Amino acid sequence: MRRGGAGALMLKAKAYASAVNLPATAALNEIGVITTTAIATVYAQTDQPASPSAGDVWVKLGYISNIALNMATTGTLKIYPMFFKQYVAGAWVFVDAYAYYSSAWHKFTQYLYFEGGEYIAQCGGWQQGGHGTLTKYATYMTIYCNSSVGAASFRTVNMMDLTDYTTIKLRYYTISGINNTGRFGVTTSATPYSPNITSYVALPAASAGVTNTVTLDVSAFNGLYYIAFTMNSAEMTVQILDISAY
Amino acid sequence: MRTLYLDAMHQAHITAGDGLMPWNDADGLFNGKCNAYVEGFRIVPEGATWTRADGTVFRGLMIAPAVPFEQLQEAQAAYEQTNQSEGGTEA
Repeated sequence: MRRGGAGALMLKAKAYASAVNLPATAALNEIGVITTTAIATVYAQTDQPASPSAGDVWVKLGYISNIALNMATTGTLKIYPMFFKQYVAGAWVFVDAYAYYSSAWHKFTQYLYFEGGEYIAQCGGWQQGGHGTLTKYATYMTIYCNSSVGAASFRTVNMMDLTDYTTIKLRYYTISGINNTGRFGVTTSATPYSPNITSYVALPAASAGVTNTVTLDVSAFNGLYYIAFTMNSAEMTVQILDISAY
Repeated sequence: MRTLYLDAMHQAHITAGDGLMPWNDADGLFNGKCNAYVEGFRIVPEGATWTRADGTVFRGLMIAPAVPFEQLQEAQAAYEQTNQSEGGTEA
């Protein structure tokens, strides 16, 4: 499938039932969409298509993504797909998608943080929201709640528009003191703490040395919110590996 | 600490009833919130899971709005306005 209206970029996209069905090789920048619904028209644009038909795919374009596609045959003309949705049964639903380049398939993910990369254009980066210590390293950042304060919070520098997203996900590594008081969530407060974090998923109690993932349903949020962490316990340290939205 | 009651879909209710499981708001997340605000939330308790319509599975403890959040904000704002003018209490 290739798409775009008059003057639009040509984007090749094919449907595959699952990621294991992606072929061993493909054309440069070919898109593999994981779906069982046949692809109709592909719209690569910033805004949600106004009058979609069943099977249409919306490639949400932004100014940052984990994969930039160079669409020029000579020189550089990059596009930044932030996420993919398909119009199925009267609604836009997220679909996984992959791009083929460098002799391999690469999955599109809208990161807010990934192993040292702060994705500043998307969320402004990460900072302390109140007490606690945020330390940034080359491939991770740690958030630390110390015993003298007993509470800490960290958040995105800027609010993020959650309108088009349904889920945020955190992958982290436990260092110490993970006792069920850690929270990963959504708030409008610039100084979040447990009672004013609007919605959250708890970081479950765990021993040190465990990599864990938590996900939060944000499908009911429209508009601007901080993504935040809160901690309410002495001597808790968590190593943040990646944060994504989809 | 406020006690809420959860149904099989993990939606919050403010009064006990058949088949509803009590849940304590230890964080005080719903302190000062009106009934309509509270009952607009889904609370997946620790150890439980909830599967969204698109098949995504969420593990508790997770607290998230089950209806558009702006509706809950409007209900809470109306409650606070009434409460201020009449001095009433609900939550």
